[in-house]
Amino acid sequence: MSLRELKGRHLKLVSFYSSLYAVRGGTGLVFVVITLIFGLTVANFVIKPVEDLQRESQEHILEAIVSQARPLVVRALGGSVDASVPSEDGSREETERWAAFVLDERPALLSAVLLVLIFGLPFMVTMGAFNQLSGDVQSRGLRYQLVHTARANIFFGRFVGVAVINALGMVLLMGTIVLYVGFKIHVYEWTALLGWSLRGLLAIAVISLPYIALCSWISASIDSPFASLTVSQLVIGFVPLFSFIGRNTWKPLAYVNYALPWGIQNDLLHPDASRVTVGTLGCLAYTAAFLFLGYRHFKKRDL
Amino acid sequence: MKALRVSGVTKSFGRIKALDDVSFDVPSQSIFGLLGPNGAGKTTLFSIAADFIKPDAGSIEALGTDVRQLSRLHGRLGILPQDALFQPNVPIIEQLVFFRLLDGRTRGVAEQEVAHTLEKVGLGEYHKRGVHSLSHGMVQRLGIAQAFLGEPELILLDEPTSGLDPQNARQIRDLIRDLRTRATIVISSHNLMEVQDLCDHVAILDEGKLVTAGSMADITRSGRELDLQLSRDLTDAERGTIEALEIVSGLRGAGPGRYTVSLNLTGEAASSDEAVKTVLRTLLDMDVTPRRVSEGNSLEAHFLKLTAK
Repeated sequence: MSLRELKGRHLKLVSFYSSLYAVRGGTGLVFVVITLIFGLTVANFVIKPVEDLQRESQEHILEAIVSQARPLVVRALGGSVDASVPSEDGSREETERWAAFVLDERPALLSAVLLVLIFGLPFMVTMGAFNQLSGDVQSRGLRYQLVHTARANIFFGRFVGVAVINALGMVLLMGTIVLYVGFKIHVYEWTALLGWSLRGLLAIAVISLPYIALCSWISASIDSPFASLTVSQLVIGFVPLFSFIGRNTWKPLAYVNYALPWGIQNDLLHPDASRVTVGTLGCLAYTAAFLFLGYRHFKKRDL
Repeated sequence: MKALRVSGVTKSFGRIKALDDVSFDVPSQSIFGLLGPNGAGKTTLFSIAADFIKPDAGSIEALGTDVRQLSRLHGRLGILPQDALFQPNVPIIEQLVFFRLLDGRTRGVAEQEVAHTLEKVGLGEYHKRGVHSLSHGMVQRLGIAQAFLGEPELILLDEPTSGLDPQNARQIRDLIRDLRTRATIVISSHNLMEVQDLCDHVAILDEGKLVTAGSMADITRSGRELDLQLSRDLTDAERGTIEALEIVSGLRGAGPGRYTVSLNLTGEAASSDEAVKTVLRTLLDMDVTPRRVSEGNSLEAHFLKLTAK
């Protein structure tokens, strides 16, 4: 049994039907609803103060947005690569340049929403990806499929299905936010808004992949969906928490962040194309590694 | 060609040895019964045969292909796994159509085939229902429908009639009989009457080990006994006459007018027939009418003897 057994038609069928089953079974719908609730809550948290400002005065509204969003954005970017590397003066300037790019050169309101979304994304993605395999392994429902298609098609097909549902959920979320900001706030050009939201959407889609792949691995290893969800959330949450707490006692522990894409995921909104490319390739490399580990286990395990 | 070849299969779950060096062949175009008490290893063997689980040692070939290369058998192998659940909220027709699409059928052909198969198992009118609204018996029939879908050359049915009422069980048995001309069917069942009725070959497992395997005729005849229901009880002299026959090794009463004659055979079928004739001829000469004659043990008696602790 190997990757040579992968068939495009089977991947398509498995991804489509697994998504359909997830939606009909409720977990897919729950995921979309949670994504929307989380995303719209974040958007509301960022946009509400701006709406209040708008009511008071339309003048200098852009400057007000930037000044309000700056602490949030700087903190979010500071939690990325540069802050986790042992302190060097250059890193702080780099963060400032990065913050200036997302706040001054791009719609600041959208940047703030995107950065908070990217921080919460790994936890959100887990809600849609934890049950890729574990539930059907537990119920032995996979056995019906195994006599019709190879394990590789089931494993990768389900990964693709979750990635597609996740991307659709994000399109729905970003679409709602962009339309609201565009029609309600009236401070940005539509071209700037659409361009930056498209870039943000692509970033979110790419950043989601390694976390979905991590859930594929965990879900292929643990038969209970609840345990799979719990372990996924704990692993994803533990890495940045351990890195954050650990670096205060021993600085190299900051590198624990790189066990998952936490250390590079913000790079997808970086002003330099090279950083964006490296960040994207990094996310794809994490995805490949987690999928490799997950499939290696799945192809040998008893089902 | 052997439809299924089991060679030295061993499988343990922790310290429990579920299968211990099991080997036997399933002839093509046969209905093969796999018997054994609970925990004998039947379901484990089925699961290895469908590559659901991996053996610790040994191998299984289905239709000449090692089952570890299961993808080469897709569409040629049907299986009813035990305790496997369907998606609860998806219409059953959609679930079965999905399997046929994976087998390479177009949607139109797949839908036609599925509708036809559902009709055969009596679920035609429920095709749009989800599994959650079906009874246990209906779900069992749905499992059988998915195993029969298309034209599999080898079908493995793990307890196909468990949970079915007598009418439905009979319907399924008839379906299995209909399929025997174009498929090899392996059945595991606790219903020994059913297995004896349906199967032409059988293997018996006990505590993970193969106890016996062979044709149903050989297995049930291997007791080399003749059960007789006679028109009257035998006198002592008549008993002596029977016991004096060269091909008789023993005679014992089994109730009013009922006797069990142990035959002393060399093993060839011809001599077995000859022995039966000799016993019956002797009885008729003594003016005793045999009202019912059955050769060998029932499968149940044989099974109980082989698996007795």
